[in-house]
Amino acid sequence: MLLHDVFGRFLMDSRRGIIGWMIGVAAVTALYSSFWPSMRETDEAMRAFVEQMPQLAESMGWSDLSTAEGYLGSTVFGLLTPILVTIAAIAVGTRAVAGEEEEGGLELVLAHPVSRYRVVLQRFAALAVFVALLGATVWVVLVALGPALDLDIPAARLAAAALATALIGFSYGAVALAVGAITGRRSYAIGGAAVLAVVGYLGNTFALQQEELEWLRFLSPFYYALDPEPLVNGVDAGYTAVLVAIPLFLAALGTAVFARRDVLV
Amino acid sequence: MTAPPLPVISCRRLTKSYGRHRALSGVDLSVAEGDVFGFLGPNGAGKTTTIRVLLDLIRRDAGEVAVLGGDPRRDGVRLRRDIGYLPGELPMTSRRPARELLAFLGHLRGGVDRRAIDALAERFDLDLNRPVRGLSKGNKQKVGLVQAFMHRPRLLILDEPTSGLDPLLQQEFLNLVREVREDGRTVFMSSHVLSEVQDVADQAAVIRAGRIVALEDMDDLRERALRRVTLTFAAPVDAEDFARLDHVRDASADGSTLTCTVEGSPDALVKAAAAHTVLGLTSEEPDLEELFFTHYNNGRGTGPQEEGSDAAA
Repeated sequence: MLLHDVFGRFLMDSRRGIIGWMIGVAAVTALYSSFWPSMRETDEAMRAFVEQMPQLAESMGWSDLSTAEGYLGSTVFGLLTPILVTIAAIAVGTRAVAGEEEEGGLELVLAHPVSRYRVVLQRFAALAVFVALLGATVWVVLVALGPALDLDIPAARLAAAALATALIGFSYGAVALAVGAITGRRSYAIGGAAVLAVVGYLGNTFALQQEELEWLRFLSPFYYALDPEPLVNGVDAGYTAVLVAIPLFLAALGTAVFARRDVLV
Repeated sequence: MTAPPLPVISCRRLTKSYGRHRALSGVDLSVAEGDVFGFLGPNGAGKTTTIRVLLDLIRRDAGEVAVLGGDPRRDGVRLRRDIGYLPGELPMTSRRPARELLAFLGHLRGGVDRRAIDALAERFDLDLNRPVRGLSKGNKQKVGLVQAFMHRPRLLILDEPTSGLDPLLQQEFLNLVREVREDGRTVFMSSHVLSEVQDVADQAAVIRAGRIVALEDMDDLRERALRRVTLTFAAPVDAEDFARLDHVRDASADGSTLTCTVEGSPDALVKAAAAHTVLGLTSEEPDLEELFFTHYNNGRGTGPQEEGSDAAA
């Protein structure tokens, strides 16, 4: 019955956007992973580059471009899909409360016999489904192209990496949803989540070069998602739990404040 | 033994501020079960804020509010089950058809008979298969009206219900409101102007600068209403014959044409005129609006036009 409720309605109303983002994520994943065969051929040149500029290469995550895991881990999973999924999740998380509130659409729903908790938590669940669909898209594309590109990475490892990507997006989408639920302002929701995403990404990257900035990594979902190298090691239970806990905490906080404040003012 | 019925809506000294802006500064209001209540006032006077407090979309700062015997703050979900609400603004951005939106909203209420939706859509001549996003303002308003009435709520709260409807549909809407009243259900509707609600309302209140400044029983108001009546006869008449009649004032005859002002019932005038051959009769609609404001201006000393400056204070 959830499909006929706030949850299903929100996904149904967003379905063009969802399909659009899935196509975009699939295209980027397919494009960058299909460079891998030619990348492998320039292995020597790349290695020389990395040796000359080890710090830059390391911070960009290019330390190991000679394996399929290293290449995908630094391109598709290290930069492109996390950023795309994050942008998409922030857009959906913003719309979930603040966007519809500013537009006025939330008024009609909240005037019905539904609690504020029901509305926010179901939209949060819809956000989870959305990022899961994007993660699944990455996985399906790589599993399908794997044999042709000679990736030779087990499907379970690809799934672990796709999960990590989805969870990065989920965290920032939850930031947007929570900030929107707390403030009711679309601009704060987008702005807050975008700033945290940039800080999180750069924090994880530059913390590798600057020891005194290392603490920044612990605030970054990118760190918890990428540092365990899921393409090589599979799912890391502890770090994955952190990545699940962040959105759940944000959803609880956002819902608690939303239930107590005035809406539509 | 029957106690007097509890009011369906009652507010006492209701206040609400947004930061330093005082939106409601002590609203007192009581709406009896089975009444149609017109809630009038200019934009920014506090109509929508009051309505949103009733629905628990906005939380009051102070005062007492009871809706259908409960407090919206505590029993919001339960109370809203028995309320049909039409918001003042209906954005409706979905690309899905109106029927789907109405089914969804019906589901939030635990299911609504599809035939009730179809019947209302037919009355308002609304095509349920078109996506709501592309609908005109008037058609969106119809969707809003259908969702407000479809579950036959005990209380209807309608924020500017007739905006965007053409005159024919306004009539259909007013018929619907009359049917609701005949069922003993209650309608609380806001408007800028009295003329939109005067034909159906039992009571009307005016809110300005966050305070109720006038409350009128519409039947009393109609009794006091003045109308200009012009009668054309086959032969010249004497104005004196009519000037003495009950409720008739300012009678003057110009040959065979008599003009006069009738306050309240025109019964005596019509009976007196029947003694002659009447060729024509015109009666202007009484301007209740003017009367309404005249009445409360006399009582309060402030006119509806000058209040804007106090509102900001």
